[in-house]
Amino acid sequence: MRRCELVGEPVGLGPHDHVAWAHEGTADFRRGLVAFLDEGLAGDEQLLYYAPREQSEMLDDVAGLAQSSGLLESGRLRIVPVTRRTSDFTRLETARMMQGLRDRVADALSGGFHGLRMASEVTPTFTSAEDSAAQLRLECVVDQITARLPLVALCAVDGSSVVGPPEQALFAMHHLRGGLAGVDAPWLSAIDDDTWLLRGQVDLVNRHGFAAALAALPSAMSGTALHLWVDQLEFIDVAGLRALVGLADSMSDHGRVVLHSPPSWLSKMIRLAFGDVRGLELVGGEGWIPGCAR
Amino acid sequence: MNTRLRHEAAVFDSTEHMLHVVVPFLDEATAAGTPAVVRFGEEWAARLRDRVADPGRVDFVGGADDENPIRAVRAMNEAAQGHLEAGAPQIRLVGGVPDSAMSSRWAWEQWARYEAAFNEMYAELPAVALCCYPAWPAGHVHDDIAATHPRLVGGDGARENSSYVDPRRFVADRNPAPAERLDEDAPALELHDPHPGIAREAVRRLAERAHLADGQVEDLVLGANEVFTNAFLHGSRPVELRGWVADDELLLSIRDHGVGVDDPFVGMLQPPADRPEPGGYGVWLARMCSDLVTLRRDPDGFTVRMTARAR
Repeated sequence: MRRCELVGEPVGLGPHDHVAWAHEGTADFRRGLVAFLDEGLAGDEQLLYYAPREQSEMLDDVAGLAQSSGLLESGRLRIVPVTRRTSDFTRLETARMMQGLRDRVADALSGGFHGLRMASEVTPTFTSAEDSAAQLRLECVVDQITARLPLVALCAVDGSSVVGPPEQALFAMHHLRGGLAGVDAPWLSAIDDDTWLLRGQVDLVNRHGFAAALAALPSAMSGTALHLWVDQLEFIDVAGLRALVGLADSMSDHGRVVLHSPPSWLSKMIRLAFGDVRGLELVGGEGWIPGCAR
Repeated sequence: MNTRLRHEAAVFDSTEHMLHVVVPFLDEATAAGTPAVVRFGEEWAARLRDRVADPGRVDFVGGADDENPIRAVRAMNEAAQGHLEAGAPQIRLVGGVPDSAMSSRWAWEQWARYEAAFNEMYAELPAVALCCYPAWPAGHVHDDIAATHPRLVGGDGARENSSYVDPRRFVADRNPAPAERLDEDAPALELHDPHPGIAREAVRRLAERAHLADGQVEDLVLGANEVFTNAFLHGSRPVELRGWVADDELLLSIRDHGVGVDDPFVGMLQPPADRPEPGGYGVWLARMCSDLVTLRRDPDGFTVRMTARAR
């Protein structure tokens, strides 16, 4: 099971870790990025840095890394500027990108490395609703890949822009979070393909961010059932539940949402507030509701 | 044919007496092709099934054992709604109140208010609703039955009831409910604009101090959170959370400084699932999750109070 916790800096990480880190500006980002990549060097990992930035700026970002030129020349460190808006990528292109990421992990392993360490700075993608939604869909896929493969992923964002539901959703999709100021998100982390763990509390403070994160999950599905383990969910209010129920309803023609091991209070709340829900199945736990699934 | 609600009460001194009134009421509906829905405890329901002309034409629904009226009537409401949506011009409803609710002042308080509210909430419902009560409960219960039903069924059929009281006046005259008088002492809990998680934890601890059962604690936390959320989203700060505990009883007060709502019956009906805007669930859920919810406006703000008693 991947740990869900707050971290101070993007270091102390290992395979399968996916961290969101709110930095305090360019200098702070570069310091954290270098520390993150440095740790990868020490751990015999292949390094990848991609971001929606100019190549020259990205070179400056990694300049603090010892022997960065040599690392770039040898291919140990690769930098990939992304020039297109995230929302411009078609789903097929996104799927190809993700396959490309899997291939890079495989390449790293076949090259004798222990895995791949990937960093990104995604602040520019949170300037429009379309881009942020696309970024969230991307994060879903990355989190699923990270859960399964020896990949360490850092998703950095300027802390001063962490103000709204899309940024909350971004943090919700990372089981490790650093440099947080005021972000109070539940935890939604991949366990396996189409299978997620939902932890923490969903309420007035983060309900919109939770809904945005939840809405992104189907984009990463390979099957027809979205599985959510909710035994560690501490609280969800009616609005959060409505997002969940709405997702199940929207998927009901071609799939379903399966809640695994719901606590008794959650089963009761679904029953009280929504009764039978199309496309929602509750399995195991204290509160299995016969007939809740259709 | 009536196109508006007829809300009637009948008091029975025996099961046979009940059957004498309810069986013809249902058989008449069957003969006229009028759908009928019955929410009775198993004993009375079984007797009815044996005696009505066509039990297959009567919907027997669950919920009869639930002391909370908002939860108890839910299945009946859904069945009634289904018949109306299918085109029935009129329906007949028969229901009762659990014995335990009639012998508990806490539980009865919410039922009495619900019976009053029923007249206003369902005024346009094309239905005859027959509420069946036994004769044994204390006199104040029968006073409330008379005050909340515009028609009473006697030996000579249903007649207009001169003891009926306007629903809003009925509710206003009952405030504060006995359960609310815990606030005569200093509060055991007082928080101003707390983080929702801190508010929930405080409510949980208070509920445990009142020895509420685990399920009741969960319910109260859920309901209080929704009221608290409403206060933050729709009211004006500061939002004040207060709580009192005495023996096995608990009172929560959630107050904001906005104008609130002027309808004492808010949340007694389930919000329609197809409402275009989300919301409207808060007080409804709070009513299902506690023994009594009261709403109060005053010149300085709006207060929702929830009470619960250990079972």
